[in-house]
Amino acid sequence: MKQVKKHDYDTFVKELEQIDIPHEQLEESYIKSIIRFQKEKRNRQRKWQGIVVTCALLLLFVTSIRISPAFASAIAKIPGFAPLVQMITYDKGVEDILHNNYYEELGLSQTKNGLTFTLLGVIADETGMILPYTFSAPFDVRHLKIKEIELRQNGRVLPAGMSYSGYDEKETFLIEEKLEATFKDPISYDNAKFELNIQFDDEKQTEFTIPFLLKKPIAKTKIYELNEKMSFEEQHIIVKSVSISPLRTGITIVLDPNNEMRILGFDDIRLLDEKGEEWTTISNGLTATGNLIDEEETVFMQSNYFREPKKLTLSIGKVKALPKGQDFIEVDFKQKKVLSKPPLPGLKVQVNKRMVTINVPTSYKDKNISLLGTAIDANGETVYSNSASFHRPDENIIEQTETYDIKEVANPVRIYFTHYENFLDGTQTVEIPLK
Amino acid sequence: MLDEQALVKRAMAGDELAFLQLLNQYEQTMYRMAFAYLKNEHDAIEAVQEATYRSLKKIHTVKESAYFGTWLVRILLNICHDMREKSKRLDLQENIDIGNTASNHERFEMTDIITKLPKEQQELIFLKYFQDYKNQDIAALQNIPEGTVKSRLHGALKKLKLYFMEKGEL
Repeated sequence: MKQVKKHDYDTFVKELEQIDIPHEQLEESYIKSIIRFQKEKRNRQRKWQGIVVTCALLLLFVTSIRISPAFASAIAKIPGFAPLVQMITYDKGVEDILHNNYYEELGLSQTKNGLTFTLLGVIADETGMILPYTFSAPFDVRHLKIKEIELRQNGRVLPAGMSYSGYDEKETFLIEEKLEATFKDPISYDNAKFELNIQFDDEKQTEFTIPFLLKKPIAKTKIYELNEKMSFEEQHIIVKSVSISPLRTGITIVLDPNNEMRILGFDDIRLLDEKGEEWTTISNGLTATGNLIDEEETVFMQSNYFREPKKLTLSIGKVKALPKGQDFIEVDFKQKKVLSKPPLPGLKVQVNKRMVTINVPTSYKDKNISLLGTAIDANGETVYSNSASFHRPDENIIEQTETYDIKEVANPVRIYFTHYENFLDGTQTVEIPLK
Repeated sequence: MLDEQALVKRAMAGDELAFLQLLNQYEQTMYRMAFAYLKNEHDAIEAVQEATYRSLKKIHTVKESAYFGTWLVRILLNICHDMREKSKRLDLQENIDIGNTASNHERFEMTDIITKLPKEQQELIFLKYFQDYKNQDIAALQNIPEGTVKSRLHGALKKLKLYFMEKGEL
């Protein structure tokens, strides 16, 4: 009997295990059911109750979002939450912002020419703003592009970098996205009246101007001056300062001009608190300002503004560097020739009209990184790139094709690397002097 | 188990995200059960979707948070049962070629036999061998003595053994 039992149940379990699970379709089906349920419920509820439910959910999902990426992606499909939920999955700082109720709900809607734009809310600090929005129309809007965006303060356009994502491939009547503004310099929020101006590239060039006021106090950026020196195989850097605001932590690093090698970047920067919890660099969004080739850069990390740790340690490792003189390629666009390239393992370069294609070996798994940076022509003028595209011929190679504007270029052109996986030994740490 | 009960309580209080998490925990069991019954992906997904909706709507009827697993499995079993009955009637009416079904039948022979057992025995088997519950847990879940769990499992096994003897495999 015992044996029979074992055999039978093993067969049963084995049979069941053969059944592949279509996770994505199942998630889709959960969401469909939840939406169906919500719709029925909503019909029975007054509108204000709906709003209360929305706020509660917003707080609740912060606590459960880290469970699994699949789960997060399921929630992102629930109407109204998508723009911020996506951020939580890759930015702990945004998670803290929602936890601490630092998000300001606005819900300002306008309808014009059949298009409806809703500014859902704002997360604002001295360094920038995140503005989640929805956009809908009674027709497919997936190809409708944003033509222009301006953020104005008291009638003046703010000097800010505005970023937003492209839309879905699938047919859709509703877009849920976010705009991210990064200010060139910290702004003052005293008596500030803001206006978001957004123009779409539809037939009527529909333009929305949404005035908004912020009622919640704006968090002051915490700035710590360090001026701490770190060395990696005799190459020196100075960690100048650390500034922490709700949206991001900026680490300002200065390179020693006397280094024999040019430091290209830092693949492992993290902040650790006394409990060993880590904050890493921003993986999606603006990652740095400045340019290491000019020997100063501010690297952005996920913020821990709301945590108030007792101790905070900055750790820098996996420093990428190339010997000076071997840190660029030289090409002649007219002759379509690569004039020189350093003897780096696995490096391939091709020139074709305005395009430079470069292959380098990589151990990066899922992400691509820009390989080429500043380009300077024979007259010392910067050559600008119009576009860059990435391709993985196989998993161990990144291929980048950069297209340059070469109308008035004086050949040859020197193009500097921004990435090559040649790491300097060592990881250095420094304690941040918290007050 | 405790975590699950906390989730169930949140789900019962109307937290749809907690509910989603529970569904994720039971995804394997639910989907594979549905597939074992209905023999194709499309119907299995439909069954899971319907079970999601019904359980969401009825979640306030869960009496004891520890019963959630059996409760969910029961809802799905009922849906699968209904769907299979419906499709059987259709099969008879339309006289569909069973070639495809037959090969599936062979592949999931054991599963197929189990889905012919009475519902409470099926519940036990799915929970024990698939969600990896111990006899003790099942006893606690269904609020029956451990001895009853054992005897029910035993009864199920006996039926299975009979089946194999008829087939002359033992």
